[in-house]
Amino acid sequence: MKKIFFFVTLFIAVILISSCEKDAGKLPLISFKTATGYTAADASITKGASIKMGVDCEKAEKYDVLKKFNISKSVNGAAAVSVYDQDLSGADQDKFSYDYSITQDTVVGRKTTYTYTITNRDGLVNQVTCTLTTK
Amino acid sequence: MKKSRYLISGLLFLSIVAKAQTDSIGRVIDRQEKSIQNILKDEHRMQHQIKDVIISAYQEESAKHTALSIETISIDSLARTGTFTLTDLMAKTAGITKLSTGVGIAKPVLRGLYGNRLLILMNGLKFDNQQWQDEHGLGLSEMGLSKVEVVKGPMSVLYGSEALGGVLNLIEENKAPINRRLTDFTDKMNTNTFGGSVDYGTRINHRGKNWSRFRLHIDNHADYSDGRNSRVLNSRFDGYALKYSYGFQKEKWTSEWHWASSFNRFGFIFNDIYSFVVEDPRQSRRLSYNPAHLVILNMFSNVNHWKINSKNQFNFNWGVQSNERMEREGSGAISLNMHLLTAQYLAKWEHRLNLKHSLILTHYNQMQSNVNYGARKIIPDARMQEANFSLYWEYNPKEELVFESGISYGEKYIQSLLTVAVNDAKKEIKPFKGVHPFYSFFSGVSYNPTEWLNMKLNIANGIRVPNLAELSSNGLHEGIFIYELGNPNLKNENSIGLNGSIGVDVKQWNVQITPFYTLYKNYIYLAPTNQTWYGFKRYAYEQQDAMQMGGEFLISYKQDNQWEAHLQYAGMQSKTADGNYTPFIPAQKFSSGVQYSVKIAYLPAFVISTSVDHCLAPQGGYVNEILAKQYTLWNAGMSFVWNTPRVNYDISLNGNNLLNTVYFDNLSRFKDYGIYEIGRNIALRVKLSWNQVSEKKHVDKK
Repeated sequence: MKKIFFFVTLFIAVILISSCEKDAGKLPLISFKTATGYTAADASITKGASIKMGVDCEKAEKYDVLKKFNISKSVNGAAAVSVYDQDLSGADQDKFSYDYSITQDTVVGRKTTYTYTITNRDGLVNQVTCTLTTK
Repeated sequence: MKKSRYLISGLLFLSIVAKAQTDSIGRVIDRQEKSIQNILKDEHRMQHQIKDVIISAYQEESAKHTALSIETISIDSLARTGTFTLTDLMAKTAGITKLSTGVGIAKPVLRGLYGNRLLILMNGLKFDNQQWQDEHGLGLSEMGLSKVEVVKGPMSVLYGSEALGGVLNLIEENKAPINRRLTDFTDKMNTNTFGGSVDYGTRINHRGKNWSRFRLHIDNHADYSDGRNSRVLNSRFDGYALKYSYGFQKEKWTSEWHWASSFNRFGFIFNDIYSFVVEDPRQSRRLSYNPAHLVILNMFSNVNHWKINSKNQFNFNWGVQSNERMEREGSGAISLNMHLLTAQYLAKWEHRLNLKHSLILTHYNQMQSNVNYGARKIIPDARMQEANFSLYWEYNPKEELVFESGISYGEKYIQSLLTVAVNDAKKEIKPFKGVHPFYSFFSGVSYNPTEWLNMKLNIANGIRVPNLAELSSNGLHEGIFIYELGNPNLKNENSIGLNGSIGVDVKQWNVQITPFYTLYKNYIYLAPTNQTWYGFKRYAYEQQDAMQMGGEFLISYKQDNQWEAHLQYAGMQSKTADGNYTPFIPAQKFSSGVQYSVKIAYLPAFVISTSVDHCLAPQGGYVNEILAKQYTLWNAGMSFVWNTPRVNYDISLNGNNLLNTVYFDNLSRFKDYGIYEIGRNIALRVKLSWNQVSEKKHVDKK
């Protein structure tokens, strides 16, 4: 009986030891470029005008790996459509920048929302969005 | 360096233990010599009797007296053939193949079904190693096992959900004979992986009142090379395992307590791994930084048997399993970390009504909890509970005829818990809970009109409640980088199948034919959609009806215990109702072999063998599935068995894929990455075993 008691105690001990804290994970970092010449916030843009938006992405933890960059576009709240995809490799997996040029459409009052998404190898995503209204 | 130290310490420990055993034998050998041959004969006879009894059936009985289609795989004899894992070893049997992710990661496939469609039993209880994902291997070695019983066809009546395609029952080694201590040490070495395994075990039986067993196993392999002699970087793996068992008998009660613990690490390969993994020395075993899967498994079980009287027997098995899976896939740190905790019991009451009728009542219950500890999550935290009740009736109108029928009712409760990034407010699938009820039945007949003929036929349904991944996946699948979306509204997967078996045993000839035909309702599969998730392809779980049919054929010839030859074939077809093939279906396979044994008095028994495996190209595959080409492998080997009064020596040398064929099997997940299977491998296995008196005073009293 002592052996059996020892068995059960040892098993419970091992289970407890093998349990651990939860790791929520840190989202990869993404932000709009704010330098001169970049649009970095919601704005009204003249129809047919050209603008430039840029984003900076960076891993949030030492062992993180950036995996994919995506830009999607949604018009007047409709479903978003992917307009640009890039698989990241090499140095881009640590830090990545991208500039995106847009020619504003010609329908006055139309609201176009651009979503910039960075995904890391764990499937954690972070996004920034910007809505451009045609005037 | 750290790893080498562990390995050297392990080997040193084992050699000290082995030395101690040898010294101990020396001290008692004089007393033993006269009686040892008789004891060995008794043990052999006992093992022979046990071998004929099938444990996986509803009650323990001879294979000919159950309507189930059952085959037995002997572990010790197949372990001589240069296998790397338990799955490798089982795949030598017709109808069993393996879904592999390299040499170390493999899960068994029975008639095209694997994962949660195939039930693995250990000590009479379900073994769950988070088998819902293709790249999660079985993670068990042959350590301490004596045989595997393969039940082809559903067994949901007894075991509920998941016993859909069949059962692989892993049977532990027998206890030592009364007042004996059996000790063995096995060393395996492989030229291809520059690695191998060591296994040490000892069993002792005190007067038949109580007995115990201890076993230790270490695996260690570097990367393998394919048939072009190209190294498959990061295919390395290692593992450490131990088992301890204690059993006792008190009048009508027999009880066995088993503990098994293991830690395995498998180098992992996926589609973009070679863009960042740097080649290290050829024999490197380093797994501390490169992508790897780490699995910590602790299993505790208690098997009880009460022989109440000549008409009533009661069995009660219960156990707890803890399975922690950690995955590091390219970010240099553990990202997926899931802990699956399972507690379960199976109660079985056998009642013999009279000489012709028996009744068996069973109740199975299982409780599970899945918790994510890592940053990467694909399935949510969850709680599950399953219960199953069954009634089984056996009717023996004549000695040569057995009818068996059973029905069962069960239900499975699944509750997914709020898990950030899987089912939170931003996600499509929200936390859910629900009960999935199910019914199953079995009916069959076994007929032995003569000594040499056995015919079986059974019809049965199998049941599988959708697993957590199918119901609630909502995330990026690591490695293959597709977004997987579950569906909480999936229905139970149901099968109804006919399984037959004809066995002919005439003089030196043995023929076995085992056909099957199965229809599935609501077969679940992962299908591509035309949507994307932030640039990643999106797949969703769907279901539709399906059909599988095929069978196995074996013919063997044995002459004077000297010559043995066999030819076996396995083939099947599997399609969904829309006419598509289901994914990962084994191709038709022929295996043939010849073996010659020589036994001359006082000299070691010598066996030489050769075999050829030929796999045809598959007839078709799932949408966009890459298909394997046909291939042929030639294997050969020799072994010596030499029994001395002190030590038994069992030495074997085997060469697999001797022609260094460049190929991939249709069930290799590496086929998507253009990575080939293992090339030529020469394996040397040395097994030493000792049989000694365990308690001198008790022998003296006798």
